[in-house]
Amino acid sequence: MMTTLLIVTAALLQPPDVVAAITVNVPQRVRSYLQRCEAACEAQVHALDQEIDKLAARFDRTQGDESDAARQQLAEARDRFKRLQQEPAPLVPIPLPVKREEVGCLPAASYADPSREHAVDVLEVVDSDDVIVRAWYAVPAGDEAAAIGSDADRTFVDLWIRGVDTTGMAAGSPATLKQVFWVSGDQAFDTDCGKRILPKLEPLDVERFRSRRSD
Amino acid sequence: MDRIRAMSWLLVVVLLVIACSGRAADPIADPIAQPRAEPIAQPPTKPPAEFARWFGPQQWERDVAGPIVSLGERGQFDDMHIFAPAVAIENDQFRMWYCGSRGSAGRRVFRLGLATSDDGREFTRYERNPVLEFADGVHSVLTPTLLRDGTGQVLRENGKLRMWTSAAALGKRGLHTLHETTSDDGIHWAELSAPLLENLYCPSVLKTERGYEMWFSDVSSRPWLLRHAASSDGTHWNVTPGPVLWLSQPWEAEVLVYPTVLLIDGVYLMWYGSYDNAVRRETTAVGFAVSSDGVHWHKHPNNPVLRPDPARAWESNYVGTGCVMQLPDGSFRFWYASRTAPPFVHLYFALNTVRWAGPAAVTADKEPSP
Repeated sequence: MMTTLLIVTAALLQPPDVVAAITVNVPQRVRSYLQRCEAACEAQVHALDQEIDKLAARFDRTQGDESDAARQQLAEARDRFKRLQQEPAPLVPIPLPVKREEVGCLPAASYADPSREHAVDVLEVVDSDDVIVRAWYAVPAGDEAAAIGSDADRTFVDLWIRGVDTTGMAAGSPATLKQVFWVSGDQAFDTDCGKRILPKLEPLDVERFRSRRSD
Repeated sequence: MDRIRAMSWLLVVVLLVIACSGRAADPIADPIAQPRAEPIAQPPTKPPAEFARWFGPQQWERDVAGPIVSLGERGQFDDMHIFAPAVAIENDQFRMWYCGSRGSAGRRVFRLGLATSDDGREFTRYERNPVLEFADGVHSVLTPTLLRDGTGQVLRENGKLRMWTSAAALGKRGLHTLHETTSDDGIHWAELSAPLLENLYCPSVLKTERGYEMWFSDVSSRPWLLRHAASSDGTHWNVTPGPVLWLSQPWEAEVLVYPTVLLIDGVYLMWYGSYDNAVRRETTAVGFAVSSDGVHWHKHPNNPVLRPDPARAWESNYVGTGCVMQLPDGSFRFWYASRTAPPFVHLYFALNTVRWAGPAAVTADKEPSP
């Protein structure tokens, strides 16, 4: 009841397009994901805010060329801060390894580039809208494996992606998948040695529910 | 108008405060799920300099013309499937225990066979095979490993050979378990023990200064990872927390499996298997890793070190599931199983061997870069 009252009151006070955004029925899966994006973005804003304070203090203490550099850094940080506040919260990646029902985007990079923490590569193009990919990720810091330590600081998981246009994709090349996906279940398929089962990801439309954070 | 708008906003703020106080009961206002901590890559630990000699080329020579043991004749216990050789040298004789089964892939029940050889390359089956099986006729004897020293030479305790095997009811999604047994002569084996560990496959056991050490595949979930366990008696095992080897090189896929470990000059050496660039399990290959303590491993940068040979039909697609031993002349010999091209009717098809002269000597001022 309180929520309904809140929505009605807020709607009365907002322009028509915002009213539409609030009252539209956002699927729970999308809502949870966008809230996660917001939380991550707010954490970034907070961190950047602290960084700006430090840069400002440094700028106050410096002179000459050093001062110019500090001014430049401060301006860039403030610009980033402004963009973060104004633009829709950046989409956060899907946690790897995936679990059922989880949501997120897959980064587009090649594991050939070791400077990238995440990467996705095409393993097999199954048909026009199904593809098997390999997603690389860093071994989690809290993982027991990482605690033990090894030179293998990353690992990977193979995924079945359904519902994407596979035109132009080829096995062995980096995959560029900009959509947000959700883990809809498992996909079994035949191999030369029995059935293999992979987590199945399908696109999730979140764009029409995203909004600018402030004007 | 501005005053009304300001009052309205105040009302909204008040309502928000009230609403938030009751949000736990409101399903729409679920608190934001705490984002999972983003993985943070650990800085790679550089391999110690003394590992350099092990990271050179591994040129395994196929010095036999064909399989060293093939499928048994129709009606024998191993007439459809054969794999997992475990070799020992005693009294100048090589003895190989291996797993064999009859029936289709879905009805496999592996039992333990024995074959002997004078040179490790030409084997003769023991005429009264199999020498060990589970009494229930359901569980398979899988991937036997013998108690060995660091070079892979077999060790006897109280005059007995000591063997560990994993076991499972294949085709029935059965639990993989670890068992042990002993034998005076390698032919008559004690009844297999009750399970010592669960979700374990393909153990490799060494007796070192630290006691008994074991490496194995953890098959509790996919992907299969390699773990380490330690024991003071070989029966009661403490599994080291966390995997010691996991999927991390582009050629690997889906599983890490069949570790076989040696300890040479204070350095642990592991050969292990994985699917080789194979989404649909078309091929396997053997990788290599080095460790100073058996827990922290560094993979060979040029893995895999042994691949199938398409020119040899009996080992054109799969190689692995075996054991490595350092021979008295310093060379290494690897006994392993193999498969033909798909369809894989035989899981596996033949047993084979290869020889590696060993690592080249490395001088202090000219160490190869790993």
